Amino acid sequence: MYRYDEFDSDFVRDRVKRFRRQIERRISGALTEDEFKPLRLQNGLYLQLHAYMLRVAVPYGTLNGRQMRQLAMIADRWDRGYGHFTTRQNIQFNWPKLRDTADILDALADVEMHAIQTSGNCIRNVTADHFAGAAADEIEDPRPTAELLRQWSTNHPEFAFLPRKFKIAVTGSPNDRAVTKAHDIGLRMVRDGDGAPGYEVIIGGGLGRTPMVGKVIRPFLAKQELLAYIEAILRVYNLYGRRDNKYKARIKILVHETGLDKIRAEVEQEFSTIVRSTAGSALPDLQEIARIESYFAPPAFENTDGDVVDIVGAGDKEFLAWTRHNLAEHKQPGYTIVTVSLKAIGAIPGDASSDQMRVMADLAERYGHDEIRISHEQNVVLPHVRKRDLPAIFAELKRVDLATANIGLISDIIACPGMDYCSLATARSIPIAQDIARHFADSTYAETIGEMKIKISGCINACGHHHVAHIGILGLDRKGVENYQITLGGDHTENFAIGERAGPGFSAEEVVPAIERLIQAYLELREGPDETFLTAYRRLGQEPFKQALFPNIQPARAA
Amino acid sequence: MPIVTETGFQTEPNLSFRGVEALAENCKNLTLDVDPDTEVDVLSDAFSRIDLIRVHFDSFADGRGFSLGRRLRNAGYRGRLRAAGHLISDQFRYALECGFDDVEISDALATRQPEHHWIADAPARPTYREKLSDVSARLPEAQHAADRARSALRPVSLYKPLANVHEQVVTQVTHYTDGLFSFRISRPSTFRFRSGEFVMIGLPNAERPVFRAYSLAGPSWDDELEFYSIKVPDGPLTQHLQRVEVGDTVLVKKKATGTLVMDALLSGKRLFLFSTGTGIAPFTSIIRDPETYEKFEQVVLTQTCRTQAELEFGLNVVAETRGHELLGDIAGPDKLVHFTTLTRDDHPHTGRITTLLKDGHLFDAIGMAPIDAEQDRAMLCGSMDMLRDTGAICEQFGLVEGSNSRPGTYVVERAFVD
Repeated sequence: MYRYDEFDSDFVRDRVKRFRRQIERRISGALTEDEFKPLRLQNGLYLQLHAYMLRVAVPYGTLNGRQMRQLAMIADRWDRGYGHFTTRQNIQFNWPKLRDTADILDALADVEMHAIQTSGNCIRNVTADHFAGAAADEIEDPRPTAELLRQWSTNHPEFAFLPRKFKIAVTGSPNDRAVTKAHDIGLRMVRDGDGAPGYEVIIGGGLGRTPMVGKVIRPFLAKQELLAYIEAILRVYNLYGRRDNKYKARIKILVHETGLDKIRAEVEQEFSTIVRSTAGSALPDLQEIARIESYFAPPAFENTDGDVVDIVGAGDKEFLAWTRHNLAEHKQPGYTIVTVSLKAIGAIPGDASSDQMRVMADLAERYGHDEIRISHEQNVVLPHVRKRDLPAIFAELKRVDLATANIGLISDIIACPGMDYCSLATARSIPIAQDIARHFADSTYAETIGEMKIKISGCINACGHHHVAHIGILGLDRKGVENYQITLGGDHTENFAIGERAGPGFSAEEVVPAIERLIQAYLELREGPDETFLTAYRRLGQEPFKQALFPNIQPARAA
Repeated sequence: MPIVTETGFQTEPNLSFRGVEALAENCKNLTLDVDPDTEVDVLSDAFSRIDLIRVHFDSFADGRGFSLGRRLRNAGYRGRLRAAGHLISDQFRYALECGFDDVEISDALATRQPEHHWIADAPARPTYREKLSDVSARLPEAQHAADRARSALRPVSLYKPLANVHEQVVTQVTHYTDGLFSFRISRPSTFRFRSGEFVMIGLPNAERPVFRAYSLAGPSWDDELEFYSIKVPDGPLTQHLQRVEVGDTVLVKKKATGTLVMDALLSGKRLFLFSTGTGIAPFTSIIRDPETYEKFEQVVLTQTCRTQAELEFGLNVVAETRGHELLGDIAGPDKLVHFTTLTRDDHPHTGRITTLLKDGHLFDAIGMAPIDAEQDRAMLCGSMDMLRDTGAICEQFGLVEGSNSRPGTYVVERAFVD
């Protein structure tokens, strides 16, 4: 993985020093609260419902054991013994005190971590496929690109006060696990007709209040032109993006209101000006790119063979269930990708205790080439594991309640922090997730249902990605009462689709019975166990599911 | 109204600013006020008539002015550029990096955020953007970094003298193939280097010239500086550099550095210099330095290229060394062995140096014993792949990588590729 050099570590230390001074200047009154706020946010510090929240960057979701252990230390020393992994591959600490935050940032700097640009109207932490460098279906590793963008966007002088936040995601696999169509910029690594590497550039996607599917602005961009092109997009957005209404300030609205063709013409013109006027200095140094790429060379895999079944024979049923659901295909024979579920039945999705973090750190160091990934589905990934080490890994995970065999199943729910923590939330999300997981706790039942993505957001900002869930749940406030709207048929993969709203909302107590009715309807309607909920929904349309959700309402009759 | 500059608060006589409508009057020495939504086209025809453009920031949270500043500079505006209105001290370096010269703030803000807040925010170190476009930013020397940061601030769209750079004149250019050439430039009287080091060079063709690491191909005693380069059609620097002619100006940064130096090696008997492509450049410096032959009994230079024509530079330098009135005596064929191998054309020896090292062909061909870690030392310069593979072979021979701070038995140039 990427190793800091002197440049990076000096930079991060310098940044912490600056932040200490900014806190002092806020206290002395040199900075007003309004002026301090964006500075605080760009160092990852939010003011939440009950306390400050510190969002730590996990660039493109990659960590090593030492870093994970430091997160555990921070959780114990300055928080309440746990951390929360988010849908943007970050970790949040929910209870730090303002006066401790600079010390926490120093502790992060000790292990080459930081909280820079995890918030604020700037270019945020760049996300990438959590199986990068390991997945069998990968064309090219997206992490060097993500790292290049991280460096380029860090402390960017021109793009620190954008109309609104700006999120970039990169995928190097045709099976899109990075949700590139729901980002301000999505990059898909592709090859041109001659086999030269480059990117398909997608802009204007997003969820939130106005979900939009990203659109292709450039079908092929040569690799070396990336930074100049991204700079052109950002400059056009910074100058023309709306600043009159923060709900209409994202680039997706600019693209939607201006039209893709006109935006493309603007961007292309800006791009050619950049390339011309800077005599090439806007393009990255190829040597520097080569250096970055060299940090992501694959680990030294051993030539090993054998499948899981060979290893365990007829073994323990629980272990076999875990290998059925929590593994993904690795490019190296004899190896596999393990997803550690942070969705134990009844637990808070994405939360990990300090003990659990330390166990995952140990496992990564002992069995996983010291690599850990955070997925946007709020799970933790050990990307390079030998299949024969699986029994040992499973046993260790089980000891700390991390061996739930539910990846991709109905209880693998994404949920934002909701009204339990967040000051923007209009409803609770976590208890709803817990209720659903408990209701479907029976593993045989969950396996019968098969692949199912439930995602819950506690407000219209959609941090829980409910728009792209097979069953999405959006918590709203209706005259002081929590009300949950259900959307159906969303998809976050390369077959990207935004879910459709299925009628009026439900009270908190009505959510689980409503989901149960949906599931029953699906099980009756499906053509067989191979037809997933999403496929069945696409085949049948919304009507039969709507009937299941609202059995007392007559369906619209065809005339 | 204080004007914040890099050196502190300044006051200036009251200027009268006018709006863009003043452009219609065909006056000169204009001082203009513009809003952040101004299109650059409105101004670009009149740049030569404008002395100062003041971009108004309504709120520090509205970053449009930064983009306008960058656009004006990219479009070729070279006059003064000022940001005015509500900016906070934490944005000072952003304004400078976007091409502004100074920031005008209200008296009230100057009281609340006094001078030292603004000065403290001025950049002390290079930015990530500079690092990505210039290898020298990675060098640790603090002074060097500070020089770079200052030079990056120059608010001009065409080159103006930089503090950490020498401007030198091209004295000779030799083209070998479609892809290779060498050139010599005058040497600044204060420029010192150790044979084998590299330096950053560039051309005075942009606001922030592109600099690239180049090995100094001549020996440290030479009156001029010599470089050996590839020509990359789209290379940010080499596409222009390959067109230099005698009399042109080349920029040379003041500090040379590198690890392919005698100081990074422990003493020994034989010195192996392994090169591919233009990686021979640091070694054409080393083999022309008498000190090399004081420290080592024998020097073996290996040169791997694709075609015969690509060997020419190396062959010329070796011949010139042997014919040199002073060096000729100490660098005879028994002391300096030049082994050439080609990977594409026919040649007495063919194949990659790694293969020839592994199968022992190299040692048979030069009639010497294989590498012995006790008495042999090595230097490597070539592509990333070559460095990795040859480095691994050196390690197999028992050699240990050294550096300036901790000399070893072999060294690699990591800041230099191809």
